[in-house]
Amino acid sequence: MMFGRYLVYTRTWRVGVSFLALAIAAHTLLSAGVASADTAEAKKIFTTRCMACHTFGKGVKVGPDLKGVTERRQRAWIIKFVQSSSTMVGSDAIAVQLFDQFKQQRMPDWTDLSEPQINGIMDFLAASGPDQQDPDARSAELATAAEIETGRQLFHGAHPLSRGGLACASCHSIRDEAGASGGVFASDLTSVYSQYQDIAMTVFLKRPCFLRLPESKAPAYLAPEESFALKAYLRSCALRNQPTGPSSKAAAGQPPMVAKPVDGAAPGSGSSGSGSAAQPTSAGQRVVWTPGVTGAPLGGHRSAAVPSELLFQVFPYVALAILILGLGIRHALARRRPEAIRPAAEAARQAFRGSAA
Amino acid sequence: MVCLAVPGAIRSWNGAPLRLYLLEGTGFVFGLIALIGLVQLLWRHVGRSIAAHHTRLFEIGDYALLSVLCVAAVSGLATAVVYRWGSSWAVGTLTPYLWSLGKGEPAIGLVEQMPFLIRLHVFSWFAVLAVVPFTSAAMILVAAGDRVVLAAGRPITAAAHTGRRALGKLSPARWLWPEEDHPGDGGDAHEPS
Repeated sequence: MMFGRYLVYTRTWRVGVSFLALAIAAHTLLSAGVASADTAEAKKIFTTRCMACHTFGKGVKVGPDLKGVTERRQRAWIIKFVQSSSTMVGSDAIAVQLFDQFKQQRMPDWTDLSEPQINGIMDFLAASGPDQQDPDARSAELATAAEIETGRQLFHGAHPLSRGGLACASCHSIRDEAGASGGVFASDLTSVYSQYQDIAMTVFLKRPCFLRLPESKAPAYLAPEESFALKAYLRSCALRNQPTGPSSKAAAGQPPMVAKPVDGAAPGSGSSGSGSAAQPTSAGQRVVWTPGVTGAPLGGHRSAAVPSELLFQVFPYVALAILILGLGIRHALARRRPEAIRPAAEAARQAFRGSAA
Repeated sequence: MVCLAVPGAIRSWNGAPLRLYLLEGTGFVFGLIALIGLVQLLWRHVGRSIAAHHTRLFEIGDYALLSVLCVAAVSGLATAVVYRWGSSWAVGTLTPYLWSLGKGEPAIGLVEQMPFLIRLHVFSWFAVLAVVPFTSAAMILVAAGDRVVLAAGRPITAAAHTGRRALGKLSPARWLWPEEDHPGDGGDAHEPS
């Protein structure tokens, strides 16, 4: 009797603990999702509303620099100030001091921002704010074995990309510990990490390497975690297959990389890359890294004798029109003698097969 | 065609290397069989005399069609060898291009960037469409189309006949001139000639 009761209690405990574990796991997952959503919202609010007058770690703009604001002020005070600074300027000593310090510029009352939203912004600022690094901005040197393995699976398509992109191995080949594998449609990526290095790889992985859909239309075709995992895998392959010797890159036949300015933001840096360059040309310049070879990865070219527009834009429709019209006319002619259609078709079949002489 | 219909399924299928090899291998074998068949057909056409009922235009059309099909098959097979795993990369490039053609907004950038061999393969298939009406094989399509048109038209004809009879019964002429035959009386009475 005692044993039975013991068993019942034990089972109850186990069931209870299982439910508790499940609840904790679910809560953790949900709160992680909520947290990331909050961060995104906080970043958006901060960028669209606060950054017009405030900076984060770059000094005074119109209002004070907000770096460290969560340490300087109480949360309750910040929330109250954001929602009704004009009221506080008449009553609160700190608010009055700030008002005087910043040329009596009034901050708008953000009454539409809720307390959780302002708390979200404060959390965002407390966690380095806009200086936060994306997961893919981490150096691939810091990758764990699990992340490299994830990268390998993503590269070869064993694990699908979360945003529906093509696996790299569809077009690119690579040599890892299992040997060489992958497609040969585009270039071999075994030593691409050695060629581009970490920062350039991060930039490069932000967009598809050639035009394809739907990836090219998506703002970011790889999740930052996936981008990092791929970068880490590429690094591991590059290290594994590192050529030896002083002129290793030249020996490996690697083309030099070329940094090109984005949107004309970096005048004069049109082709400043070199074989050993690993960083953008200078701080603050936005550049894209492209292979230094003249041929595009896929070998296509626009300077054909017949324009591509004619061949692949006009001709398909012309061909379809010829098909429909031609068959329509031949059908109309054949309908003059409906009883002759079947024998004519049989004769045509014989003729096409080459068996009628 | 499968790539065109279900590109997502092809991407998933090709996720496992073994399945990818299976699909690519099967495609290659089918392509090879098609090429052998086309070469045989072309060989039979070479040097034979033209049948009396067969016009020279259609003979030339047959040659053109078989030649273009051969080019399509050879370029397809060469693509499979030189740029392997076409079933994977084509779902991101050629499939969206064909869909864009269907939508009337051709995204030629997708095919323009391709190597010559692949562009030749794509172009040759469009050329096939343009050549078909000028071949003897078109008569086979015409006969098949005729059967489809007749089969599709049968219910429409029956519905029209029934409708005409029903309207005939409602016609006031029946009461005005009962001694005359009217359409819809059950017989094949029509207007007096």
